[in-house]
Amino acid sequence: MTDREMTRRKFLGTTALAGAAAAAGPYLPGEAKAQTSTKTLRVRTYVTPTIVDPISTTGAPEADIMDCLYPGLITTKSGSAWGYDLDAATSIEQVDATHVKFELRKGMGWSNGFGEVTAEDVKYSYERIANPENKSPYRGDWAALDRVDATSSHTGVIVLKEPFIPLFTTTLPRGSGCIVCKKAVEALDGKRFGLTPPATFGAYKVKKIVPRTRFTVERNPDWPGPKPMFDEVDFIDILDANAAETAFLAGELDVTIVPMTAVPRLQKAMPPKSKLIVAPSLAYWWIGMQMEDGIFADKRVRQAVQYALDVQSVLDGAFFGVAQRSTGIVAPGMVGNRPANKIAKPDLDRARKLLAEAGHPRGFKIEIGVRNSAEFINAAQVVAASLANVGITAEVVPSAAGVQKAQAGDKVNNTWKKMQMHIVRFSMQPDPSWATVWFTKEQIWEWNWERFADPEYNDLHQKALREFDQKKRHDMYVRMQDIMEDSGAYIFLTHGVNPVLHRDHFIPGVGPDANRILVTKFKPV
Amino acid sequence: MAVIAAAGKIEIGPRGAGAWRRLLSDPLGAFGLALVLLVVAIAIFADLLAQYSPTQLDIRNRFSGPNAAHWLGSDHLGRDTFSRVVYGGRIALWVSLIAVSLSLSIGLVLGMLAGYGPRWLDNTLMLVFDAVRSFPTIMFALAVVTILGPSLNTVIFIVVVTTIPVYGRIVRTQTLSLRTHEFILAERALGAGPFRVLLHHVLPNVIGPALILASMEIPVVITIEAGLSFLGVGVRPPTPSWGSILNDGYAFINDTPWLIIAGGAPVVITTLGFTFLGEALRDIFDPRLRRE
Amino acid sequence: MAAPILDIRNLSISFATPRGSVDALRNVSLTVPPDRIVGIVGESGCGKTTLISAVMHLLAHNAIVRAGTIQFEGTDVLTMTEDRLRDLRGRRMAMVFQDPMTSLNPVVSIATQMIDIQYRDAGSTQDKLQRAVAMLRKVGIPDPEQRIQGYPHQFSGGMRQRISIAMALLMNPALLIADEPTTALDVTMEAQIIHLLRQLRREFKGSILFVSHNLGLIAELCDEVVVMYAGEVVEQGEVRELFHHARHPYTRLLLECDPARIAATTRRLPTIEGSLPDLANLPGGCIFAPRCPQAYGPCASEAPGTYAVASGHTARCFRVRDG
Repeated sequence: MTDREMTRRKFLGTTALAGAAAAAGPYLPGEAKAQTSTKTLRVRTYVTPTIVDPISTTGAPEADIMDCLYPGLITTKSGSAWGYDLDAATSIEQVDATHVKFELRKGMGWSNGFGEVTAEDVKYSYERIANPENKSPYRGDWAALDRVDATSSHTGVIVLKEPFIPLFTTTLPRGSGCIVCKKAVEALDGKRFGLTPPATFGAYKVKKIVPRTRFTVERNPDWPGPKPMFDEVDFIDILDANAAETAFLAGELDVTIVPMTAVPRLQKAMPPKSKLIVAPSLAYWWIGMQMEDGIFADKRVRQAVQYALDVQSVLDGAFFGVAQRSTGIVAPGMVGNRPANKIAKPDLDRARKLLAEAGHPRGFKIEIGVRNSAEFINAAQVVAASLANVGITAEVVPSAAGVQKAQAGDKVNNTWKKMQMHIVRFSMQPDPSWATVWFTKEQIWEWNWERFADPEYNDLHQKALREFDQKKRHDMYVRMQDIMEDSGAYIFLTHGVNPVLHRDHFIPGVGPDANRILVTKFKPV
Repeated sequence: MAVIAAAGKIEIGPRGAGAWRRLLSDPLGAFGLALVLLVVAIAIFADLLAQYSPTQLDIRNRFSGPNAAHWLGSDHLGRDTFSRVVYGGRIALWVSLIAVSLSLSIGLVLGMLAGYGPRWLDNTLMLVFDAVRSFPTIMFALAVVTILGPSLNTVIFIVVVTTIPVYGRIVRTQTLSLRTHEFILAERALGAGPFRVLLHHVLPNVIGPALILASMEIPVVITIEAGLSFLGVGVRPPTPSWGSILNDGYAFINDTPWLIIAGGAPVVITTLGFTFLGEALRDIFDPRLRRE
Repeated sequence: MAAPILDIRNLSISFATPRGSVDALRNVSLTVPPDRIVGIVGESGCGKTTLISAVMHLLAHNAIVRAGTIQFEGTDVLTMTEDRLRDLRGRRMAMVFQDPMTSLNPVVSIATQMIDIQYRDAGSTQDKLQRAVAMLRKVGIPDPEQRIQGYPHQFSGGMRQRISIAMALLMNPALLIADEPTTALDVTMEAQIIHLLRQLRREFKGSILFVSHNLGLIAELCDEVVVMYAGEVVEQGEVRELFHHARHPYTRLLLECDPARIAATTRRLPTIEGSLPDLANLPGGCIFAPRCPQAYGPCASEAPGTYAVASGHTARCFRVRDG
């Protein structure tokens, strides 16, 4: 009740100010509301948090929440270089290619009286994700795990079956590295949980959860690690990037990722007391064609689309030229970044020829599936305009978050057959395996919507996970992306940028790609 | 032969002429009629009015304000906003016309069956009508879109399903009061079966009020279509719709105000036009329908 | 004697009401011979309307046929399928209703309505229209070619009743039922309609069942008359015979009350004392006994049978039996 009244009063206040501001200038309301205290940090989540259980979490914003609720051995370093900070571990050491020794801090007590955080919890948490029976979508993170040995209550050894390079870059500092309370989780029905963790211990603890609205955490006074800057963090559900920008301007958010299309305008006229970080993203956008059933089952048709599409026009049209074209799914600066696309420029004659050979000299009609958000819809509209040059008529079908995933996994009604072409963005961690894993055969009913299945690719993906030689590893990933492009099912668009708009009285905790908001790593200016 | 021609002609007589005079003498009615005619004319002559294809991109000239080349400016992909508004009008009217005539026809049939048929049929249909009406339209729409996927046909389907009960109920009530009329009994005494009675005698009596209701339903349908398209679950891009123009305007509200104006004004004008016209028609032809 | 067009035998009909069963018709028998006009006369509520509804089989839903048959041209209407009935209605039997203001569909043109009722006939719309126009001319609508395009509200009451009659006769029915066709009209109109019916009778081969509470009209138009009281036929016979030698006390009282027959100027119109019995709760004995000025011994306890007065003339009264 109080909350609601507050919100309404806030709303009225904001509206009144907005009215007053109309004459004064565009940014007054934001300025008036902007706070400089260290009491509450208001962060936008771009996916509605529904599961904060590391075994089945659904998106990066949930990982941001989990990061401050559970201990991990290490966490992502904030700043422009990739690296990690110790978290719940006092030490962590790679003894050899398959053994990692760790020691936990002492005296970390789970909430709700579940006792101390022990090496047994570490063992339970990691083996739980790795265990194939549990069917965690993140089991790939721990695919190389043999076991965790708890050598004492606070020390243990992670034993790998084979070398696993991404361990320190993507597995341990991410959701899959979060430690949950064995006793508390074992006591649950189904041994899983959704939005309400049975026990936490981190820099913050749960204060209040309003499903589909906000997830509020408050400082955990018992946390032995560095004291975070803010007393409270409000993770506020705002799916739409434009709405998030407006909320920021209205003073309702302190930090948010804004649409790429806002960058040129913000750079020209920055709102007062605000700063914009434009970090190159590791995420990757691509156009995928479902190659098992339907019109794109014919490779020539897929290739025709590859030759027909003017990628540059998509970047200019949908991303206002802010983003550069990508050469694959691995971003520049990372091992495995491909030097160039094989098809670098559109070749309409070749596209028409391929279409004619495939029996579609006058083109055909298709649907482009996208998430219901302006960036995707705009990109799809430019794609449609570009494909119209070779007679392909495309309609854009936006759908709510999760619908495409459900469709791809529909073994009952086989609605995956309806998926023809889609424009997708996947978020990314700083190891190439984190991108290639989604296009393996095993992911066909999960994230591999193109139903791309190539034995050589699968084989390379496995091999690269245990290749210590960086040069060889690089070549493997380049080859894998070549295979993807050669299949005709993929057109790589861009990695995009992550523009983070924030108040200027703090330095936000973001990694080099600014993809995640690390709320424990915020610092005062 | 002359007799036959005369027989086929629908005689409106002095009643119709009087209605026209009354409509034109009602300032709001005449205003509504003018707006409706304007919108309809724009939709019909969209091909002549629009200088550009509504889907033609010109990325370098995005967000231009109104000028000689682009009367309402251009959007974020450099498309001519005026052309999109004009073609969007065609979509809006097309959807509402199809949807309203479908739901009107089905509503008429079901309403007459409920009113004239056996009690169990009446009860069943009323139960179904009430059940359908109890869903909030937008919630229902979002659920249907999740199942069927967004498209023009889905929009039409949603509107038809949610508005059938509106017509069904009023037609049922009218039929109930007609069924005991002596002329119905007279027709039956002359050998007319139930379907003949419904088609030739009940229908002409209930269609008037239902048509007036339909004309007032058109703006509702237009706003539903615009609303669903605004939410991204209506017509499929790049097909222009007032709702998707509004959505673009919302996405780029910090870049240009013109998209919001161009998407919003036609919705307002059309809604006002049909509402004024519908209310005027209702007052002229069927004062009983006036809402308290 | 030729087989009758309509032969009603021992018909009893009740209505289920919240108050209980209402016995609207009891043991009613009457016949309509070919080419004859039979009048039914009685006060409001005597069961005339129920009787003709039963003949058309257009009874209300809560009506229950307790007993009896209605033979129309040799077949029982009560056991006929709805399809068969629909086939009869309009074609073999037709009906003219009391109120011409409400018996025509107000929003459909006369032409459309008249063409529509000929739906069972083959033939072009033009033929049907021509036939309708001819029929309108026959019933005295001036300028029928033009007027047929009009709507009911553009006609006067008398004209509308003529149209109703034209519609009823359009299919040449064997039996025309006229349910108080002149009650809603003024006296001159009434005279015109009666005149019309008499005139039509010459051209039109068929019988008429003419329902009225007006004895004068019956006398003027009908060949035979049936007097009904509270759901029973109390007396029937040839018009001339019955009017001159009425034997049932109710018929006599009716004749006395007929304003047209009152010779002397009087301050008070004669009336029949008392009111109709409650059909849901009938008294034993003669139905008319409570109001009958001549009731005696058996009347209150015993129901009278039907007794012959003269050839074709019967009355349901103990006085007839007892002389």
